Amino acid sequence: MGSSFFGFNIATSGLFSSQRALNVTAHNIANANTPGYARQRLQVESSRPDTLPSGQGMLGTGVDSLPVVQIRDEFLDKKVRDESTSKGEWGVREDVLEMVERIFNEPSDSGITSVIDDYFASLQELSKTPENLTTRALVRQRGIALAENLRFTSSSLREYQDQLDFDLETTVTQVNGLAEQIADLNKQIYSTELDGSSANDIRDKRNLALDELSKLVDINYYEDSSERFYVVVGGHNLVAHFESDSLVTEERTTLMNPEDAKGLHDLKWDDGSTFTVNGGEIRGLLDMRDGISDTNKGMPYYMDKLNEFSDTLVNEINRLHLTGYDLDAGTNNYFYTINNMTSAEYETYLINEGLDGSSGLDVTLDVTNGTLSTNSEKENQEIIRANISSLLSNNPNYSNKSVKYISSGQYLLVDRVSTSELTVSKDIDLDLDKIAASSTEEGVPGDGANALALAEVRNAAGLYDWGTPDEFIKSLISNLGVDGQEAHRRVENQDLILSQIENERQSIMGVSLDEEMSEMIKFQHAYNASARMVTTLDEQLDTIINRLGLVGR
Amino acid sequence: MRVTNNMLINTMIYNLSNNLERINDYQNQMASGKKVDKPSDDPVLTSRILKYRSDLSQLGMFEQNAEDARSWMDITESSVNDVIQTVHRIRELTVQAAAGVYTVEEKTTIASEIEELRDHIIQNGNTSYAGRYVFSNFYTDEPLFNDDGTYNIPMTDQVINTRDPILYEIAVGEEMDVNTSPIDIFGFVATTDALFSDIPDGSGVGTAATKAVKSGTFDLTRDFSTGVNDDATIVVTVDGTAYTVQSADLTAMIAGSANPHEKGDVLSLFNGADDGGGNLLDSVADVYFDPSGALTIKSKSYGVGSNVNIAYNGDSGGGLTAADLQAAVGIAPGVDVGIDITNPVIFDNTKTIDPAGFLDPDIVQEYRDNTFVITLNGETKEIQLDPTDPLTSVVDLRNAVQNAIDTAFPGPEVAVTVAGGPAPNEYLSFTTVNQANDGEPPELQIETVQATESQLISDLNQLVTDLKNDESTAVLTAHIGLMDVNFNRLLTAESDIGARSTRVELVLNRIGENNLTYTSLMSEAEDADMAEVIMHYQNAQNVYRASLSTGAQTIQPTLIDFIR
Repeated sequence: MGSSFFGFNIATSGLFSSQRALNVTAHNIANANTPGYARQRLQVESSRPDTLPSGQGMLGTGVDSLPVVQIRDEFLDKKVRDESTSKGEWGVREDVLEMVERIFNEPSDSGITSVIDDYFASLQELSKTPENLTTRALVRQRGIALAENLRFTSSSLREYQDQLDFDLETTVTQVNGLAEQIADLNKQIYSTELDGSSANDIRDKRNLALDELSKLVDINYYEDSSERFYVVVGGHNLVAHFESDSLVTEERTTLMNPEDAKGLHDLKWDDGSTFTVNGGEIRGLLDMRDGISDTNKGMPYYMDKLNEFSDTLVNEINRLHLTGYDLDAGTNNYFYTINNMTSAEYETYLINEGLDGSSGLDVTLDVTNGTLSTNSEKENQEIIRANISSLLSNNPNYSNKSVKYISSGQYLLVDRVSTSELTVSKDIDLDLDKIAASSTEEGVPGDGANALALAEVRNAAGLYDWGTPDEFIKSLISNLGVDGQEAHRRVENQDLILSQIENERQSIMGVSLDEEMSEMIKFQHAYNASARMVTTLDEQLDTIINRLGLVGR
Repeated sequence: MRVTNNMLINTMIYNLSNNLERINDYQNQMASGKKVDKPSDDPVLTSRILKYRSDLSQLGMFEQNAEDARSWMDITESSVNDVIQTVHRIRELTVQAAAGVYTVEEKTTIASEIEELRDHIIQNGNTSYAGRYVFSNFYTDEPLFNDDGTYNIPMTDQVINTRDPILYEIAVGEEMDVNTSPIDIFGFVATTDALFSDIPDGSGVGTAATKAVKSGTFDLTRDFSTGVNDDATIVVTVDGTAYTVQSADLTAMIAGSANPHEKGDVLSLFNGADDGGGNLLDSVADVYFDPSGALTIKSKSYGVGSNVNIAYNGDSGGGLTAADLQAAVGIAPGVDVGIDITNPVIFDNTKTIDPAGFLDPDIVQEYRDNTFVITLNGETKEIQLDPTDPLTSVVDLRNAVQNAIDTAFPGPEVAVTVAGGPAPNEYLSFTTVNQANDGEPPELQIETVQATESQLISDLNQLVTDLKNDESTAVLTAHIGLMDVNFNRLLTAESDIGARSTRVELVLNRIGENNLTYTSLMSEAEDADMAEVIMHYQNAQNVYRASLSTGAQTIQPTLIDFIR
């Protein structure tokens, strides 16, 4: 026979358990909209039963409350983070490429193609009325507009590259902040869980921080056998238990690509070791800021292509302009120079400082090899173009160089014209007569053959690997468009994948208010029933104590 | 699957933003009228649009050119037509006058009418279009005729025998010559065989004067540290003045420079050398590393007056020796002197001058009437002899020519000498005296003017004179034949112009058709189809509304609404 009061114990355990479950429910409801919150459940089990003697079986003794657990799927967490990394990377690419598209501003009435159209149209006009100063002024103005547009595009690209560098630094600060935060949370979790319990809410915070971090860099993380938590980026511990490492930025002393903005930053670990990253916003930013190859087209690629475009165009225009005669029967003038130099200054500059700050290399023999006096001018030009392109492509040191024709008839190997420095020659700027429209001395002023030759540069099919100037810009813009479209598609895909996984994750760890309400009512009823149980036992005892044995009183 | 409130809300937001993005897209297309806003919207379409755009703009340019060519041909044609009508009228008048029934007074009246008509022809020859004279070849800024009907532009061999083409581009690589040479319309009367034709057309290019220059291989890796504080010097002498590089500068430069030394540091070291009076080497010489990498010092002056030398003085205290310095700088001592120009000489042994000619006053007059054109270093001047200069011998002729050239090019710039000989084998020889600007080789070109009068005007003048002199019927009848010759030349010119006009018309038609084709292609590629976009837009809006309403209904109710 059991104790009279044993039932109280059972009912009380039910009361306490229901009360605690109600508290957990309240906590769930309160955190229904907290980012990163995983719903919690009170685990309960029936307590150890008493064995009744002589084979009468077992008697239940009530309920035991076990620790509060959170409901979360680690696998889905990992998937979300992997996809976030990819989304972070492609999101940056999409943003950058969209901005580059805006900078090139094509197709529109104010992009490079339009100013080139205008420039060539003005040269056509000049070929018809070479002695007319109004037409000459038009050519000068359109020439200046072309140079300005190219300069503006180039400097906009460079400024945007600088902006990317700033974004990179900000992102690095974010990574470092998150790493510190995770190390700090590790400390709290580790000390809280020493007694074997589960620090649910602090773990939520850490998971949230990991979600954030996974957008910025590709991370690996694990808990070792002693429950110490590690975050690894590119084989290097970003967080090791209580310690966090940090990334530092270091200003470059030499330019990585010739057209880069000055003072870009390289990343490395605080201890000086190399930082490698394969995904996330940082990867996207690094690629877009530094990519120059055909397989990794970042800002430098487009800056480099723009430079190739203007350098080749300027070379051809200058070469033809040098051979023509101006209104004063003068010749050997450049149409385009850099930094507003005069023709003479520019030529001295090319000869003395053209190649890496020292004198340009005379490659006339290599370049004119194979030309024949019996050939037409056009045939010889094709041979020269082929020679130049093989000269430049066969020597890796010459990849960013250019071969320029100078007034003495020599070809010099020099640096490319930097688009950001391109200007119309000061001579032409000051004196409209200096535009060389005539192809012979005798033809001045009525001959416009040289202006026509200049205008026909527009259809010079062999000028670029990609064809004529128009076709070059067209190819560049198409390239940009295809890249931008791919980035956009990838981001859309990632968005979709992420939203699906996030839904799956919410399906498991999210708080359902209806469910919590049901739980609340369930536990409320259980609580009420346990309380009624106490009352029942109370009445039972009342019967025994106050009413029993009153017979005959 | 367990569904939570946040899932519903996330899904709703995701769908709403997708729908809104679509609506935004269509709105953009409707507002701009374009299918493509940026290249990534549709790269293929973008590249096609860019192509059509450039094709269209080029087509527009060709259309403009062809229209200008047509205007030019029109104005040419109407002028020539006018001249033809005029010549026709003159021919009629000549036929009337030659009939032998008119009195002297009547013939004089006819003569004055022909004079008027001649002036009309001259005006036509001076037709201008948009500020350029149509028939003046490349001399578009000068009228073709003087008021008296002689040619205003110099009729050199170039003008008469090589037609000046004025090319308009009317299709890719297709050019059209719109110029009509005055020779083809008005003809020319070759200048009579004056002695000046003995001075042949010719030209020559001399050799440019050079600058004194010294160069050598500067040892950029040389360590000068042992020479610190000693008194060794490098002395560069340019055009007779010595400029000294002090060893203190040398060592300071080397100390501040990386090894191998910067080329720029070396250059500033030499440029900074002074003559003791504050003048720097920089002002008299160019110091640079030439394309092969050798340090080069080049005087800025030309010719024999230009010289450069370099000397090395060792340290008296036993530091850097002169040999050390020379090994480092690499330029051997010794003077280099510039070379003067070689002048181009123009002459022709076969065209000797016959002294007997000076006895004939007609030939002497021809000397005085003739013009020749001298181009010296790109500057062209027309030259005529001073009528007051005596012309009785070859030497006189030389003096007169020299005098005329000196008036045109004060200097003297060109020396004229009598060469060959003895008479009658003497000829004139021309030599430039000075170099061209900037050390360019001097260039001299001489062209004689081969005609000053046009055939047509000359014939008309003769006709007027003959009419006024009341010449015989036979003389006047001969003029009818002359008019026919002129008339035929004019008709040939007109048919040539007509053929070119027709070509321009054809080109314009073709361009018009191409324009239409490309514009419609472009519009197809670029412009949004409004009806389609509006349908899509409506559809997208419906979906958006539906998603809003279902979303609102789904997230609204909770269990709480139904508990008690």
